[in-house]
Amino acid sequence: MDTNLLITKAARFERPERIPMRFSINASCWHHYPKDALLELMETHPFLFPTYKRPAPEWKQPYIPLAARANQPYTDVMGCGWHTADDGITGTVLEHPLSDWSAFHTTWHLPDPNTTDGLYEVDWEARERAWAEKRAKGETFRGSLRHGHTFLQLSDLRGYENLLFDMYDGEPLLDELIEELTEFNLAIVRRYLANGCISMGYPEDLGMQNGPMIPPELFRRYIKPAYQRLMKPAKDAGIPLHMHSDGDIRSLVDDLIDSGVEIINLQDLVNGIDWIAERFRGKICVDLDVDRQKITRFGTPAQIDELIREEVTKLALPEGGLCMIYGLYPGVPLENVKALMDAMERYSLIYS
Amino acid sequence: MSILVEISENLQKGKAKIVKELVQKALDEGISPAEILNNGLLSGMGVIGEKFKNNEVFVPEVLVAARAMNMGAQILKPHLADAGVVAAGKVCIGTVQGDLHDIGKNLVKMMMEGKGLEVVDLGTDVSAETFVKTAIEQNCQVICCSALLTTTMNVMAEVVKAADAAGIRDRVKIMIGGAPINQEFCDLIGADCYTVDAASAADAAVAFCRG
Repeated sequence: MDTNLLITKAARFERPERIPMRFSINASCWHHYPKDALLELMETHPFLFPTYKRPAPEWKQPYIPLAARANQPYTDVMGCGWHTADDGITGTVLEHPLSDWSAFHTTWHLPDPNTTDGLYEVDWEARERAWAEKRAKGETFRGSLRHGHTFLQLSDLRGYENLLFDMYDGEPLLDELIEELTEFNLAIVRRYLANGCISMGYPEDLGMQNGPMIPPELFRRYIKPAYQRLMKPAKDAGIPLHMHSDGDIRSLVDDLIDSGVEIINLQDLVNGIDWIAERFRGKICVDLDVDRQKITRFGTPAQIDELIREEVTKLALPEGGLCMIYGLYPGVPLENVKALMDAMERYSLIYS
Repeated sequence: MSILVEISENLQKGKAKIVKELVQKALDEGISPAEILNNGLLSGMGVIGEKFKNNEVFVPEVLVAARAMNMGAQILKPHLADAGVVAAGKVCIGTVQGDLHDIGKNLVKMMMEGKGLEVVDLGTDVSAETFVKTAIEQNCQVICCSALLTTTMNVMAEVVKAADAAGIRDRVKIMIGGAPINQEFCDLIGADCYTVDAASAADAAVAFCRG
């Protein structure tokens, strides 16, 4: 069964054949690890890499998005300037086109959602043809706004501190900007839905290492109404709504669920496995973002196995309610990578 | 309520405009700049720092309080110089080479300023050599290194080595922090101090500056 359908079954507590597990290898890994070692790991873990076939005769570096290229600053379609120091690691916005509000509606305007996704230029017609081909073959696809569609987009446009100060000060131009941005994002949501996506994703980052990036009362005032508008069409279409956020989002979770989120992708150790279990087990599907700061980076293979076992036993039910994902970045010892892949494959079958 | 308490309380709420007005009013009433600084602005930031350590407030509340403090301090600055009030110490701070994240670094900077320290902000993507050169040239007592990424944290070891090579370890302390950093890593690379949060970092820096 394809992973998209497994995730939908897990989200709806419809007894997925196994716990959906995904393993994402960041493009930077290919110049930090011996590539044969990574290829070997991919080849020997077919649940995590179901469509993988070892390339022959020559291996090619995966495509590196424009916002993730070292020494090649990228100005996106919104005018935000991205910089990174390592090929493959998504950059940080250092140039904010609306750092001064005087640019708003004078030199700066939102781009056309028919030609872009908000970060890159997009040939939507070509994408629609590709989705039609998938549908014709009985395959599925997931829709998603770009990572950082609303809160992070506002941060990138204004700068994080400026944005917070706008919110605290009740800056009226911020309301105008949010209104326009929401309309832009809605056009993209509607396009995915019109083309038959089987779930819709709303990835952001709302949490710090400790506490939220935005106080809950300001989230309710400024961001939640936008989320509700963006999520309503997908809710009306009856498909699962997926929301990602890095960081500690415990104080925002109720509002996210209230907005319509059905699958919540959040970090395990930052929010706490027990807290996640208490709040969500059996109620809301958790798409668990497995630790990449502590145990997988600095722990032993045995500790990694124990982490995955604990997470699966505390969060999953035979009916579903759990998906897991890991993002590999350089620095994790290869024996730990193997231990993690082994554990994810082993425990994905715990109820099978 | 005394005007200094008002300054402190409005600062804690992030009411920058009111803090600015109150600082001017306090000066007009003849309260000494040092008293306004210590018992108004720094007192308010001290409360915020303690609340941050106890998870009663988080990054946004600290940032907005720091903005209020900075606006009050702008009014106070010329008067402090006239009165001969000096900083509690001097530190340089930056995010290490290869890392462009600055929220955590900025937070530590604000907390340190809230403790009366003078902070030289080197920005992001700072080389080991720049940290050490700045500390020497600007007579900093502390170097503060920040990293968000597990891929860049090892640059902190280079800062320690560069400081060793420059022979400044007896007079310049090296503090490290950031999401992936812990005490074990601090011990491993031979840095002088790791703290779990920005408020604790400011306390530690003040202690180092006092010797």
